Amino acid sequence: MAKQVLRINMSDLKATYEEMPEKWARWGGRGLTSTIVIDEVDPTCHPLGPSNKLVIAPGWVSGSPAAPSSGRTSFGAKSPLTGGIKEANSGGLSSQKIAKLGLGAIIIEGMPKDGKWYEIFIDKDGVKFEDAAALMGKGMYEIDTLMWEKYPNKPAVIGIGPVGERKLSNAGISVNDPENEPGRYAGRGGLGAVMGARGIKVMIVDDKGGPGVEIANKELFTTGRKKLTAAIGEHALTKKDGGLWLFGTNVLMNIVNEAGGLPTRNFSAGQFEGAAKISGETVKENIEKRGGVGAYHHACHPGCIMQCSSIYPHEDGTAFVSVIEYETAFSLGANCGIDDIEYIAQATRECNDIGLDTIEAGNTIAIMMDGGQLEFGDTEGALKLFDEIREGTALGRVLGQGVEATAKAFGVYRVPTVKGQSMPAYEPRAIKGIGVTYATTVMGADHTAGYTIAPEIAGVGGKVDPLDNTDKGALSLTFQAATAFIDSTGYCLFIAFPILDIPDGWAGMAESVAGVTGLDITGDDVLAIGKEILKKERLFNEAAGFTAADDRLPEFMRNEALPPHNVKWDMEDEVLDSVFAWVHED
Amino acid sequence: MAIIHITLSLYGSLATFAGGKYIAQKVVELEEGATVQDLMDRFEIPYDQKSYLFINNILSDMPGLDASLGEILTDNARVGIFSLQHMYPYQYRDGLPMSASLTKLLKEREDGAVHNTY
Repeated sequence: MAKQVLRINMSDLKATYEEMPEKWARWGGRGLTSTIVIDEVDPTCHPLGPSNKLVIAPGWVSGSPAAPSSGRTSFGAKSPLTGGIKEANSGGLSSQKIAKLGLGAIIIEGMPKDGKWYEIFIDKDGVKFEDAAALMGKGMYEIDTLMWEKYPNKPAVIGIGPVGERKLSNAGISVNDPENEPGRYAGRGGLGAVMGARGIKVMIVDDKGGPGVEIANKELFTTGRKKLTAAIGEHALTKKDGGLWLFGTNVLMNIVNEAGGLPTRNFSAGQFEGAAKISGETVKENIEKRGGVGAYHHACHPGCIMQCSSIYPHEDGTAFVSVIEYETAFSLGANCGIDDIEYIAQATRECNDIGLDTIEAGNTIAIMMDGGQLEFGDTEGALKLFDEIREGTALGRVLGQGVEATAKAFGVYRVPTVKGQSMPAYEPRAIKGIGVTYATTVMGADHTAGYTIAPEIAGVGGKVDPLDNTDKGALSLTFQAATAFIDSTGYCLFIAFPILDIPDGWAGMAESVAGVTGLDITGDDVLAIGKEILKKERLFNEAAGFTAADDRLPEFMRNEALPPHNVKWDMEDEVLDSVFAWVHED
Repeated sequence: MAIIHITLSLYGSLATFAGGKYIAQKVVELEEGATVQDLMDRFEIPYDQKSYLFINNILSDMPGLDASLGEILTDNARVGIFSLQHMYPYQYRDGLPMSASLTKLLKEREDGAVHNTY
């Protein structure tokens, strides 16, 4: 049975199913959300207006039996934060359940004529619309609990908090995890505001009795998934008792700090004296000491064998928050001059509840600190800012728009953004390669836009020198193309670690995709497919008005030397312009 | 022989060599001219258990390599050593300042500079 596209029109509250058209049939995940957005959304439209659409797509292999760590859901739209195309993906329960209902994509369009808010329930029998008035203003912890009380089959809950209801540009989309906690976010780019603009507070996906995922070539799929599973299980970073298993993504805190690349106090330094106190090592010590429900290898979606998530407990062992990622600890911690892990846990919970992307939220508070509105390190003052956002005060609405709007409101010059989106936890003046990706990706500054692929696998071996700045453009393009492919698979991006070092894992990834979809794909096709996605996205942004001038890091990074290395951003514009020059040459 | 002071940080399983659980930070006295190898010997840290190693924020070693053992330490140097469980993906260290000996070693390798482990 061919996959279906579920189209939900909020203007007339109608849901229609259509067979996946041929032009979209070869895509999944990010490749599919971006293709649909490009086909159906006017690049010049207002992101919160009636012409924008929210597209949700599981990856190629999501929902297939025993594909390891394959529960990523892609969300796509024109972003209110960047003004360009956006794909943000999340773990949690939604990807596998959408796929098991036989759906390749859900397209949400239109806006309710009555101005009401809706709860949408999707199962094998169709779509139901229900007035969501009783849910308005509630945070995602309560929403998730209410939905599992109401619907018996432990469904996926996709929702927005009060920030999304107000259609603010830092609103994320929450997906519940296996414990029905709301810590899994398609966080970046304000897609929660796009969902809010469609009048949807929450979507429930119940896959019970669904047709499941059809496997085109079971033998090839099994061969591929076994290779990938073996690579994940073998690699030092992803195996049981490897770095991600033991310490989660926050294993990076101390190492990036030692490297002098940890953005600190609104990107004014690359080293934070309190880094150890907010690192994954400290989190693990506390989890072990406190016991209770605390866990340091926890799966954010069923079938994940890397299990980099954790459950951070209160001192009495009861649940506090899941999960304190490295990006979260950087933005809410080091970048605000805060070394209090309990504050970071509380602030993370606030973000999860009211529906904020933690990177943008922490960086916004850092702007307030840099602007003299409160002192760096002031945890009490920072928590009051979350209250402002939750209550929707005038100040809270400014903060909910993210870094650029807040910087303008308070006259701050040091604004660490690209295309309107603030930077993640790697200082580009110290780590220049990531600066090329921050500058050039269509997504705005994004640490997940360019994961490493081995040059020998990519077919560029011998042509580029990773140790030479002049080759950074070619490397970034290669990494961005590989990432666009992995973002389309439904696999967690962290499979990039084992498949970089273990060629069989790389082949297995491609074979498992080919096995599920029937597409003629091998490892040799990955980059070409990834570039195809990048080209479409790039052309969308150009039509939306983006130019080469948008592929630049902020001025202050060229003017201010970053300690401890005392380096400025000195990458030539020609290197940046080379990354996507091919788009108009092909 | 003059004495120098080194601020040593051990992360992950290496912390147990200096009395910590997952993090140990100490100021260590060594004789002038001491190397990274001398520092590791002081705490009986097996060389094959180190991965990423930083001297004064300069990346000086990688998992599976031995680029740093002969580095001579200077007074008030800061040394951070990570366990084999730690990760530092290439895209997050691409362009980072590296020591001359590590740069030379990576340039000589056919498998390039981008891998997680060697």
